[in-house]
Parts: sequence; structure tokens; C-alpha cells
Amino acid sequence: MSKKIKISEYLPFFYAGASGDFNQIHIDDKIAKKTGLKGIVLQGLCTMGIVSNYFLGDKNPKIIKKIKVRFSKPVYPNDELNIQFKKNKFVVLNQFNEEVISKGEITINEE
Amino acid sequence: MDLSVVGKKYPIFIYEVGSEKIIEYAKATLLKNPYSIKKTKRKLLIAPPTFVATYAFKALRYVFDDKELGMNVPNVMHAEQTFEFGEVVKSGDIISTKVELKNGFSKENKNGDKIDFLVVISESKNQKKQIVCNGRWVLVEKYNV
Repeated sequence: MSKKIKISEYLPFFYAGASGDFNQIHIDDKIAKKTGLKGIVLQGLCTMGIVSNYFLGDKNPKIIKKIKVRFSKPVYPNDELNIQFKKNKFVVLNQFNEEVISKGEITINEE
Repeated sequence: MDLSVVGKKYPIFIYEVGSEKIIEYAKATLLKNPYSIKKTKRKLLIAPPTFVATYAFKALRYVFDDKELGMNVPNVMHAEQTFEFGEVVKSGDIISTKVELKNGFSKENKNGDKIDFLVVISESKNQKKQIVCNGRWVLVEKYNV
């Protein structure tokens, strides 16, 4: 099973305001490039939140008991992500089929 | 960063959960509407589980700003994250988060450059002293970038 998600150009800024994660690599292109990145990157916890919310949908948040991820590669604005999952395991790929999240696991208890 | 300070604990950070912040966070993580329940005449919002990234991240600021640890924040990447959830977080809750530097070690990448790994754990409780989330954050600082 899979789900595709487009990352908007401005999402790192929206997420910085929502979460307080204003690390400069998320909002300042020059500083991001100085650290070896192609430009500003999306906060890893934003990608994780998007995945978790995809599994959550409109259900009561109490059903999600645990989530675990490894951030393998940066996510850039305008990337197209593809969440691929099988039972409680998932990976997230970018448009180049590179894993940006690997070894994802989510525990859901709907009882 | 100076990994000799591993074991350090930071002051408890208190965060009061507001409805607008839950809505803002939900939108920023592409959730159309936060889940809500009716309690008496008021509508309570229940935060999506990863809202922990908001209330606990503010506690993590102690780590990022710790001069003794000396992290060069723009060179720090988030490598791994685990959250285990307890009670749900609702609008109006008061969340206390404590953070500890659990483990740290250095490695060399294939180019021989040093990379520091820091494992931080967080424990967040609500105003009833119930656990709402335990977090394990693995942060990596690269050198020679």
C-alpha cells in the first residue's frame, strides 16, 4: 500500500512557526548550503508528523501508541513523497525513489 | 560537541497546550482537522500524537542552547526518533517535560571525518502526573562540512 504527498515550498516555514523548530537549515538557504545541503530542508519531525497523521486520519489520537523512524536523507521543499507501508512497517521515498525515512514502525491499537 | 557532559539533566519545561497551537500544528503536518470531543459545553481538541514535537521540542532547546555541550546547531541533523505515547494531550493540558543526555559517541565516516552521535531522552507528563510521551532523540553533528 502507498500514499503520495507533495511537500509545499513554504512548509518548512509553516512548520517552524507551529513547532518552534527554527534551526537555520530549515529557513535560511545560504546557511543550509554552507552545511552541504542543496538548500533549506524540511524538519524531520514534520515528515514524521505527516506520516503519523496519515495513519491517524480522522480517528482518536489515542490509537497511536508508538512511532519510530530513521531519517535517511533530507526532504526538500517541492519533493514528492511516497509513504509505502506493510502492516506496521513503513518507509518514505522521494521522487528519486530514495528512502528519506527508513525502518519506520508504527503501533496502532484501535480497541 | 563535548560528549563528556553526557548524563546531564536539564530543568523541567512547562508548556500549556492551546487550541490554536494544536490547529496550527495539525495544518503544518497536513492533518485537516484535529480530533475533538465535547465536554460539557466546551469542545476540547485532542492533539495529534506527534504534537510532542511542539511541547517537547521547546524542552530540547535547553540542549541546543547548552554552551557546555557546545553543539554547532546548523551542523546538527536529526538521525532517529522514537515516541511512545501514553495519555492523549488535550487543549488546556499543562505538560511538564524533562530531558536528559542519555548517551553519546563518535564515529568516523568513510572520508575519515568525525561524526558525533548524541542520544537524548525526554519524558513528558500532564498535570495529573500521567505520562503522555517518552521520546528518544538521536542527533548527529557533522564536522568538516
